[in-house]
Amino acid sequence: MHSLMEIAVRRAPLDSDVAKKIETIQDNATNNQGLYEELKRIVSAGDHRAAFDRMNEFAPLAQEAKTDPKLKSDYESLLELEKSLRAANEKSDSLERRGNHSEAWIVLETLPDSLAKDPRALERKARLAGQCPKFIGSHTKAVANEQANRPAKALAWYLNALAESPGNEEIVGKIQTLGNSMLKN
Amino acid sequence: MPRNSNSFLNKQKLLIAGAILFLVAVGAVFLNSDATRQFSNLAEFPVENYLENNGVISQEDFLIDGTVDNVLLRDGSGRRFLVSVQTGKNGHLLPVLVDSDKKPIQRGQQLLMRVHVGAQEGIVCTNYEIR
Repeated sequence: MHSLMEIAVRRAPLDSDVAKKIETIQDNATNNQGLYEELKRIVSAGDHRAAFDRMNEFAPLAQEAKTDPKLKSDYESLLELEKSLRAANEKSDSLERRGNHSEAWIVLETLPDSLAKDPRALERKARLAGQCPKFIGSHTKAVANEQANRPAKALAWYLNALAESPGNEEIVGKIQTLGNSMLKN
Repeated sequence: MPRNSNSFLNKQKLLIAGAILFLVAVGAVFLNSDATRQFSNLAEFPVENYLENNGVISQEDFLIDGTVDNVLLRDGSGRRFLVSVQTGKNGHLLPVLVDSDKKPIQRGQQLLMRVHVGAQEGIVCTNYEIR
C-alpha cells in the first residue's frame, strides 16, 4: 500500500483529491488494524456476546482474514455459541410465560458447559429455581445418581421429578430407559 | 296350616343366609389376619435412608405399605412388572420391581409389599397383599 501511495504522490503531488484519498486510506488502515486487534482479543477471551453484538463491525474483517483461518473459524464458533444461548433463552422464556417453569429450567440446565456459566443463563436459572424447588431438587439428585451408576435410585428421583412436572418429555424418556434396564436385570 | 309352614320355611332360609354370612365374615377375618401376620414381623422400608444415602441397605426383607401410583412397564411374560409406589411420611415415589404370578397390580391399589434391595440397589418385591 505504501508504494502505491508514493506513486500517487509522485504523479500528482499537489492534487488535493489524491491527498484526501490517501489520508482516508491511511485512516482506514489504522482503524482496521485496531479493529483486527480487538477481534483477536475478543476471540482469545471467548467473549461470544461481544462477538455477536459487534458482528457488523467484525464480519468484513473476519471475511478478509484469509491469512488467519484459525481466527476466522474461532470467531464463527463464538457466533454459533451465542446463537445457541439466545435460542435457549428464547425457548426457556416462552416455556416460562406458559407457566412451565420446570421445563424452562431444564432448557438452561442442559446447555453445554461452554454456556452453562453465562451470567444471563445463571440469572434466569436462579429465578426459575424459586418457582419449582422440589422439581429441581429431585432432578439434580436423579442426575447425580445416574452419573454415579445407581440406576434404581436415579429412577426413583426421576419419578419424583415427574410428579412435580407431569408429562415432562425428558423425564418420561429417562424413566422409560432406566425402567427397561431394571426390568431386564 | 299352610301359613305356618310358609313361616317355618322363611325362618329356615334366614338361618341359612345368616350362617353363610357368618362363615364369609369369619373367613375374611382369618384371611386378613393371615396376610397381616405375613408382613407384621417386617421392619418398615427406610425410604429416606434409601433415597438420600449412598450406602447399600442390608439384604433383609422390609415392608412397604403404600399406594400404586402407576404400573410403569411389564416384561413379555406379564409376570414381571415395574410399578411406582407412593410411600413414606413424605409421600415419595419408589420404583418397585414385582416378580409374581399373583393377580396383576393396578393403579390406585393399596398394597402391603415384602421387599428387599437387589441388584444395582433396585427394590424387588417378592410378595404382596392388596389391602
